[in-house]
Amino acid sequence: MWSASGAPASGQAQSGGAIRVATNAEPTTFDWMSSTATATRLVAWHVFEGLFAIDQQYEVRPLLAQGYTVSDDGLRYTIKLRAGLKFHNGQSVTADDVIASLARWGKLSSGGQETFKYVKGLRAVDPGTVEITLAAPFTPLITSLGDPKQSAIIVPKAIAERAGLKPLEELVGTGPYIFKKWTPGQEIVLARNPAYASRTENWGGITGRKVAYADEIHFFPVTDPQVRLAGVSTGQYDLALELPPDLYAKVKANRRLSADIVKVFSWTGVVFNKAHGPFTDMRLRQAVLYSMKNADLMAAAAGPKAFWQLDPGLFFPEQHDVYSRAGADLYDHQNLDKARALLREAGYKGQKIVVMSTKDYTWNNNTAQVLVPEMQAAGFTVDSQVYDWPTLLSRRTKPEMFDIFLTGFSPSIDPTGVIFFGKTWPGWYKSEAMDAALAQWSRAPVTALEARRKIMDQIQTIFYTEVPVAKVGNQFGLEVYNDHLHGYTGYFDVRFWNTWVTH
Amino acid sequence: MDRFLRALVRRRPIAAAALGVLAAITLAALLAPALGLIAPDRIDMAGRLAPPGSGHPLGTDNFGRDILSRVVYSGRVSLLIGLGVMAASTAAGTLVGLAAGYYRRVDAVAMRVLDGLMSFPAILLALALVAALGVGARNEIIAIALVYFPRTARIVRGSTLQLKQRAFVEAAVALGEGDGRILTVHILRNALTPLIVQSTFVFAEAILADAALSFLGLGVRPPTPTWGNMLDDAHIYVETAPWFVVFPGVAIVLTVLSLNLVGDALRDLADPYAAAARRGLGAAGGPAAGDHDTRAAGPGTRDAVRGLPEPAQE
Amino acid sequence: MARYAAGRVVALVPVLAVVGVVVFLLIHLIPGDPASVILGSDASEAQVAQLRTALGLDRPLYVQLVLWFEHVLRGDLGRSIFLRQPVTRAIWDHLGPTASLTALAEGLALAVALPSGILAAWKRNTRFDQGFMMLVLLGVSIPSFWTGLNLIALFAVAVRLFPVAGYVSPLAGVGPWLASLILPAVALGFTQAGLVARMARDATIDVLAEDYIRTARSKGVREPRVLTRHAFRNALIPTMTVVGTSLANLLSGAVVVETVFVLPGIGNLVVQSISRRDYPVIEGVVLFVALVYVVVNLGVDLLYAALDPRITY
Repeated sequence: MWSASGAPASGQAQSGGAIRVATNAEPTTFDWMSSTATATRLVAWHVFEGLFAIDQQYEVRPLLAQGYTVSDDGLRYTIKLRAGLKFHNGQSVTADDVIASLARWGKLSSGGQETFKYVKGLRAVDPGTVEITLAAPFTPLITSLGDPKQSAIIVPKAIAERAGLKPLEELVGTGPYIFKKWTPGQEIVLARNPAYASRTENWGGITGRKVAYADEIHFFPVTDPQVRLAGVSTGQYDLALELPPDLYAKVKANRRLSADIVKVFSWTGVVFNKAHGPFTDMRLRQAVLYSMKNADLMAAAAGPKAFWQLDPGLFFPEQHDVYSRAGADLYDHQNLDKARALLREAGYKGQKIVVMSTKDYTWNNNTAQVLVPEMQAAGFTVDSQVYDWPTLLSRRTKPEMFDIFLTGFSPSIDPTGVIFFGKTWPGWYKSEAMDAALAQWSRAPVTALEARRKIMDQIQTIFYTEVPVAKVGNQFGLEVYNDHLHGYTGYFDVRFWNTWVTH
Repeated sequence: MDRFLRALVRRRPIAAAALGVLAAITLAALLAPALGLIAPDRIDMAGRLAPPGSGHPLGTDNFGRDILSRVVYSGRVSLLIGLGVMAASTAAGTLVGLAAGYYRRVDAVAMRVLDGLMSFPAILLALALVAALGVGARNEIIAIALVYFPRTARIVRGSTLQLKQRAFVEAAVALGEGDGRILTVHILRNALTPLIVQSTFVFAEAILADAALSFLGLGVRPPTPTWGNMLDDAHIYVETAPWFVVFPGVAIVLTVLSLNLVGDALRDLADPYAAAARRGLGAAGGPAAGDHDTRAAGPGTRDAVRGLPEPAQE
Repeated sequence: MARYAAGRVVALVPVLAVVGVVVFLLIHLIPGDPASVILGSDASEAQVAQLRTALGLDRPLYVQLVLWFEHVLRGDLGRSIFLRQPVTRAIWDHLGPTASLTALAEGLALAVALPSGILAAWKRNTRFDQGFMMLVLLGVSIPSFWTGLNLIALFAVAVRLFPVAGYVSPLAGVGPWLASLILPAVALGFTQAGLVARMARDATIDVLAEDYIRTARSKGVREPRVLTRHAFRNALIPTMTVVGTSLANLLSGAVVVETVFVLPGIGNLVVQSISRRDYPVIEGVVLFVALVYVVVNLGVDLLYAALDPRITY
């Protein structure tokens, strides 16, 4: 499926030129630590790096770190930095920078907050070594440091402290590209970092060997997918991302275009308000699960069958370490009788259920339009409210405003990093059973594969019994590029190191 | 009424046909549930984007829903909105116009505000209003009515200004009749014709405005079909499912064209002098123009022309 | 005349004030706010509140209104929250596509409307005239965005003559630039042509009934000369009024057409700013648009007064 290496595939790699990318949305910030937006990440991860990062197989490996050791009791992690690392401003990367960055991450990022519940202390053993002391064992620590969501990027101490809890404005990192300029609404420009110290391993993903062939990368926000595609066909852009699957036929017909179908991309979920309203009752959430016909919902969202997949997992099948099929007997098992029975049992009296969706992401509202009649068939009275993205974002932070909203979840790499398990994330999931299972996971040694598999199954079983979110299905992404681009390999967001252009 | 219809058929056969078309559209909209159509929101993912054929005379949309059915049901919403706008803007415009035409001081203030409102191109103002008030049929009606009532007000004001000076009004004043009676009985009754004509055109503009707003996503939302939001959905399927783009648009054009034709004919029949003028002996006119006899007004010619409601689409 | 002009300019002020207040109040009634959009979906309430204060969005409404007016009078329309640049800059950047589209659409419209309007007046009540009136009626009855969609289907898809959508800057080549504007210009022009043509016809009919035309004809002047020399010029004046309105319409951003063809013009800017709750931009653009409209109308009025000697003030 994916080539294991990030090395240039065919032809002679050449330096120089500029890669031109048509994206679908404008980022609002480039601070990969504070924002979970993909529009942010796909630019930011060229500029910033963390101690650890995921490889082509979604497993965490060292990036800025040389390696690490753990004490026997699992409470002390010693992480050594690679030698000779420098920031884009010429400063050397030291343990102080790491500590300041991680402290910020612990406050700002959901995964960081979860991790820092266990962290007792951070200290610099010497300028090249950091020691993390835990109050209780937390085996996902290293994984968490490598999570691509709200990543633990390392920035200079002074910058981290100046930014505090606000998004970073000074964009100084260690990555293969340097942030050059941003003309909002028009383009984002990155320039090659001539002093980049690359690793040598062929791990792929976000770590391993990264060579910046192109002099510059230009990102252009082009919101209309037909225009994006047209631009790649004419050579105005080299690659266009986030194309609706309905355009695939057009792509296939053009011999100069290559299509990349990204399978580990996103899964659509129906998020319940568990703090207020009818869905505080688990039975009603289960009723919705029983009223869903997932194939119809996915077809509405993603069109042709080649672009989606029904799968019960919290994670994607390609993520071997954490993939589980527990709950498959409840997932995609539409049963209107059971749904109605649950409604009766829970004493549902016809209260209006507010379902929020947005047309700003077409798949979002399309899913809602199929979900609503399915819920109505089960006996729910539904009020479907469509908002633009900013209004929906604002309303979903207020428990009195909605009962359900729809969203897409990009890949997580560890159950402790799953965003909707967080207690303060919209939906407000509080569950002792899940807390206990996650705590167990946090204690299980990384090498105890069998034990971890059992805990993962347990976590997923709870997920399907308590239904904090009803999973719809895995949606694939469509990226298209032309014959100017070489060496490109797909991942859940675009990366342009180890890639070159001929014009 | 009967005499009017006969006159219409005899002298303006095309407009009479248009009236027939309008009647048909209205009937279809009213009787929609009884017409034996496929349910407009029945989803059939397996049959999505099917071309016109047996079972679906106009094809299906991206959810597999029957387009014919949705086009007919859309009529209910669009006509309702058009009617609402017409009623609201006529009522508001008449009130303001009468007051402004009759009372000098009201006129000064009212004209400033009306001028201010008319300084916005229709769509922009409607956009901002709907964005502020929120989406939904009621708010849409309010927004579009707010955009178009100044034009009605100006026309009523113009008529009031003229009629105010006529002998029978002077007589009424001399007889001691109350302002209210004068305004309603004497002035309004004589200003009725241009008002009715204007209302027809406002109805047409409202349908276009609704289509535009829906297309931008600010009208009544799916799954409730409106011609505009169907076109919004159809936008990216121009290549793959052109029927999806064609039919809702045809419905809009038929309705608006018919309304304009009828409005034109109404005006011609009601005011033979202006009609003769339009046919080649005099003043400016045309659908959606003000009712003024433009020759009477001199610089007012420009006012009459600027009284033109611009189309909501640009 | 100068006094008239000055008087008209002064009369603009209260109108613009009304416009400004209306716009400001409108925008602030919209739910949702820019701070949460900037920070993204997973920001905490605390972060959002912090940013909101930093942006000045939490001060009382009347304070914000007064401050805004102060700035506007100084020519400062504020700073776009999203684009991080002055609103005036944002408007300027987006003016190009709208201006090009306007010029092209109006040009096409006039090229078609003026001759046909005059011709229809000359041949009034013939089949040509009736057909003409029907076309005019169609022009104002068909939504321009639907015309646009059909044009795309025909000339960008079925026959790959023009691009489906998108704007190419003239710097990248005059040919591609024009190609990207033709279809939207035709879509817009069709409606505008209808308006202008009707007025041209009616004005010409008016003029042709005048005495001086009869005189010219009886003096033996040939009909084509009558039309071009005498009728056209005099019919131009009332026609110009409609052109003025039409231009202002177009310039203010043919909102929907820009959406269909994805042209980064003023209309597009407004629509996007509304969905991003970028208050300063929405206010600035709507104010700008109203200003343009008012100024163009003023210009037309003055021109009208200057050209038509019968009108005195």
